[in-house]
Amino acid sequence: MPTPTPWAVGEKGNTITCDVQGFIFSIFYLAFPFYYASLSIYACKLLLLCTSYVILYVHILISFFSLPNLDVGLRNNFQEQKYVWIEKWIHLGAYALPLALAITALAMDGYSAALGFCRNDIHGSCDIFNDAECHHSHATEKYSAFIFIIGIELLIGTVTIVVLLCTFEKIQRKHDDAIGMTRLLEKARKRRLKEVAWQTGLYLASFWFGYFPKIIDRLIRIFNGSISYNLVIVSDCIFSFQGLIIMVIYFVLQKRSNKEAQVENIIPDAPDSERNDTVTKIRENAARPKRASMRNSIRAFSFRIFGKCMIWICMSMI
Amino acid sequence: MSSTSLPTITEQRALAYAQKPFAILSFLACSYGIYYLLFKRPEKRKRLYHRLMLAIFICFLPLSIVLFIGTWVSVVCTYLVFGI
Repeated sequence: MPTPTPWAVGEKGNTITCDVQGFIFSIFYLAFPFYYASLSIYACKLLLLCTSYVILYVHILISFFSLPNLDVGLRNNFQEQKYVWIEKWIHLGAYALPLALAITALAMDGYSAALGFCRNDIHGSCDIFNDAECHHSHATEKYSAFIFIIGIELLIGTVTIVVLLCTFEKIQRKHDDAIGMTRLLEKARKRRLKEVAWQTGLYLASFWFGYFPKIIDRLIRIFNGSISYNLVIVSDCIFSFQGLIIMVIYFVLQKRSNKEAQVENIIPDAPDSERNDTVTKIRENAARPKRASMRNSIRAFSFRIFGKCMIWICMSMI
Repeated sequence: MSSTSLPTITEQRALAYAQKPFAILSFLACSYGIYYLLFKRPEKRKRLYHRLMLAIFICFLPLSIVLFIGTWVSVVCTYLVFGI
C-alpha cells in the first residue's frame, strides 16, 4: 500500500485520467511544432518532403544540398493555388506520427505522472510508487524522442529562414540589374518576400523562445546528470505562454499588413490571388474600371498635363 | 539551483501550479483566435496562412487545457513525479 507523501501536490485522479491527459499531451505536443515549421510553406518546399516524419528524416539531408531549388513560393510567384495542395499533407504529417506514438505508449506502459503532468516518461521497470530514485536516474539519462523530433522541426524552420534570407539577397541583386517592367515585378516580389521572411522569422523566434529552456533543461539532464527544477518550472511557464504569444504576433502582423495594404492598394480592387503578378495581370487590372473616388480625384486635378494616356500608363504600372 | 536530489515541497508546488496562469492566458488567446477565424472573419480562411494559424490555435487549445489541469489528474498517492 503506497504511502501518501506531503509533496504529492493536488493529485486527485486515477490511471484513466492520467492516461487521457498523457495521450492528449503527446499528440498535440508533437503536432504543435510541426505546424509551426509548416508556416514556412510560403517560402520553401522543405515541407513538401515532410509528408511523413520518416521521409522527413531522410530528406532533410538531401535538402541541405538542394537549397537553391527550394523556394516554391518564389517559383510560383506566391500564387497560392499552385501550392495549396500541400495543406492536407501538413495536417496528415502533423498528426500521423504523434497519434501512432501516443497509441503505442498507451498500449505498452500507459502514462504516469511526470513533472507537472502525466506523460509516458516513467519507466515500467521502476516501481511507480516506491522507487523514486529509479525514476530519477532514468529522468537524468534518457534521450527523449520528443525532444529529438522537436529539434528536427526547429531545424527545418530555421533553415527555411536562412534560405529565405539567401533568396532575398538573390532577388535584391536581380532587382538591381533589372530595368522597366521587370524592375517593377522584381520590386513586388522582393517586397512580398521581405514580408514573408519577417512573418516567418517572428513566428520562429517565438518558437525558439518557447522551446529553448526545455532544450537546455534536457541537455543539462543528459550531460550534467542532474535536474534543475527551477529551470523546469520556468520552461513550463514559458511553454504554457506560447498560445498568447502566437495570438499577439498574429494580430500584430495583421495590423501591420492592413496598414501596408491601405498605403499600397490605392487603385486595385482585385483580391490577393489576382494581384499584379504577371504582365498579363497588370494589363488586365489596368483595363478594369477604376474606383469612383480615384476618377473624381483625377477630374478634380486642374492641370492634367500628362493627359489620359499618361494616367493610364501610371495606373498600369501601379 | 541544479539538483540531483528530490524536489522540495516548494519546488513540487511550483511545478504543479506555476504554469496554470500562463495556461489560462493561452487558452483564452487560442479561443479568441479560433473564434476570430471561424466566426468573426471567416473570409480570412480563404488564405492558406490563416488556415494554418487556425490549425495552430486549435492545436494549442487542448495543450493549454492539459497544462492547466497539470497534476490534478495524476494518480492519487503518486510518490513522486519525474520527466520533462
